[in-house]
Amino acid sequence: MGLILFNLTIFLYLLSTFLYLGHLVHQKDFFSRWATWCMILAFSVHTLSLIYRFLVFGSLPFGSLPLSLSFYSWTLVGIFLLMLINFRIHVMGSFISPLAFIAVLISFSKGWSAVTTREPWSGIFKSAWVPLHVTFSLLGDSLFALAFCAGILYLIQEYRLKKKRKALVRISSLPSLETLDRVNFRCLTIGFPLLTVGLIIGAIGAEYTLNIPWRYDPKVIWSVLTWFLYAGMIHARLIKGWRGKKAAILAIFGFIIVSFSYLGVNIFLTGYHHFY
Amino acid sequence: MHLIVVGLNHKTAPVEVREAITFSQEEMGDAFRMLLSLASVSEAVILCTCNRVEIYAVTPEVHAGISEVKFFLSKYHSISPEVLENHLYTYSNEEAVLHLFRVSSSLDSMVIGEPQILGQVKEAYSVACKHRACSAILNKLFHKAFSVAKRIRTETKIGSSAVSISYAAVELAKKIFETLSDKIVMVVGAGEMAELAVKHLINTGIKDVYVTNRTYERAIKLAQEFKGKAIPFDELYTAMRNVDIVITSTGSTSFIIVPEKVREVMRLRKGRSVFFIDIAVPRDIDPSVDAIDNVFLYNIDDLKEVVETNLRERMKEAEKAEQIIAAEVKQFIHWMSVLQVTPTIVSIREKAEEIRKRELEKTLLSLKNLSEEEKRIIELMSASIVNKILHHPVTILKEEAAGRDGNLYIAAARKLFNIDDEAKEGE
Repeated sequence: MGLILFNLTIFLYLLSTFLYLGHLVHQKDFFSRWATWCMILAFSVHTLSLIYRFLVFGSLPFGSLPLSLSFYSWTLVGIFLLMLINFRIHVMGSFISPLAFIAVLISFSKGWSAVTTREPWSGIFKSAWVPLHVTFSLLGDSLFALAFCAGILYLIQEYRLKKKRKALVRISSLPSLETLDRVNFRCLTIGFPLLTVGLIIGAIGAEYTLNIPWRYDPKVIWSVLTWFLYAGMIHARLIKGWRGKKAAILAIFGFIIVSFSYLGVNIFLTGYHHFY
Repeated sequence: MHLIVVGLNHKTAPVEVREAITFSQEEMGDAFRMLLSLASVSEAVILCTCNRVEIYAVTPEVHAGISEVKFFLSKYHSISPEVLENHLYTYSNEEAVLHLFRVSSSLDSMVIGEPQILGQVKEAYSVACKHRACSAILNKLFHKAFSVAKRIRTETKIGSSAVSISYAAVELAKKIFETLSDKIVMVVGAGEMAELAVKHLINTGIKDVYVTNRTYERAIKLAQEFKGKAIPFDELYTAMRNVDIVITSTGSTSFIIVPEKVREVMRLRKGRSVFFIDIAVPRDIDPSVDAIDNVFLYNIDDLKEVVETNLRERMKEAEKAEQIIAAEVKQFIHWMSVLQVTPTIVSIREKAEEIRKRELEKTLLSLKNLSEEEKRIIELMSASIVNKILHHPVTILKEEAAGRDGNLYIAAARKLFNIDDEAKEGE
């Protein structure tokens, strides 16, 4: 049952990826409409599979990094779908759907079936700190991912407008610069508090439950760095008026750092967060 | 029944000829009366725009129909047929359908993809209907033409991009700004093209218009025209802090707007984007302004380039449209041929039924001792024999009527079943 749901989720994300790519190439509303419906369906099945898993194992899929990728793509798609209500930037689906597809695929091949054996550190995962810490952090990360996509689209649109002439053909389907900039800012102002809460919960949780020096763990250091980066970004925007292109570049840069502290630290460095 | 078109357009006739054979709304009644009184015209629509005059008609015979419509045109407008002949084109049946579909989809227009023509065709059709000049064939033809035009609008991008400088400016603004309704546009100087661009922006919905000019009085005059605000020329940069779109078109020989000042303005605006449109020649805005972040500068050549690229795009889209039209024409011709064959099929059926009834009556008279049940069985048998014999010829007739030899098949069928002779005998 869990396997069927999960396979279906992967398939639907793949399908919506193709539909969104079709939209990108052919610029027909037909594609984006179906792609979005497909994404909504994929999200629903994904939700079911998470619920099913929770019922069977009694925990959210936070036990390992690959496992968390599934939850990450779930929050990412969920937030994207919510954003569509307000902004209707379907083009962004062509970034989100492949990301979600790859994330669930890795999650499936690396960790999903392995959960039948007990998760490591199960003691910690039974406490409420970890799920809260992970949920908030991943929600923040998802919003930064959206800001990243908006940033890339902004740079493409800006490049075409500055380049004039030839580059302007087929520009019509991209959203306006102002819209993309607004998405960027909105994601930043919602994502940053979520990340902050996530980090605070993590710190308090670690203080209470871990008996090891956690403060100098590479992941913690990188996360704090990320936090300062985004804090600086909001400051630059509000006080110095860093909008548009600069804000787009910052959002892209920020997301690369975020992704490194989420994924890269585990791959290249070691620390107590090793399961994560 | 055949469809014909007789007409001329901007490609075949100069404006002197076009205006000479135009039809005003008041004359339409007379024109239709005269047209419909022609021996070989049973339905007609007159399409009359500034670029074309065309008469669509239904006639039993193509050549007679065309020459009568030509005669009507020359007589009605008192132009010698020889002069007219040089400018007229004529199409019949398949070609006529194709022509109307192309015209209403704006593939035959001077600016391909312009949206007005469909409205004009609709108007021409409704005027013809008002004068009771349309019946089955033209009704169907024009409704089909409307739906084909609509299909082409939605399935191709033939009308999607701006093909005039001022529209291109509005379109570019929409790529920079989410909405124009909270934006302020400022016009520096005055020029026809700048005014046109501002008018388009106002039509799209804009918050406010500022006007500035070296002579303040002119600024006030123009501001009144746009219901905007006049700004003294030396407050140009102060005003720019709140302005999102700047259109310049002054006669100045040196740059009026320079990068140092714009940078200062951008700092005060906290980086909110500004769209500069420089329509003046020589240019009013230093081109290096374009290098500033969140500033977008388009001069007249850039806009022209956009328009030309869009026009080329339209040409490409037009090819797709032609394919759609070709398929639709085929469908319509099929419908027409079926319509054409229907009376023949009906006559064949009627004739067979008549024979059946007659023979059945005779038979039943000579068989006196039959029960009601037996009579019913014989009646059923006669009906099914007729149906079975007719089934194949009727099917083939329907199929072949749409083909190239359709008329031949219809004629043969009428002869084989001896329909026309009998009708004559009856007369």
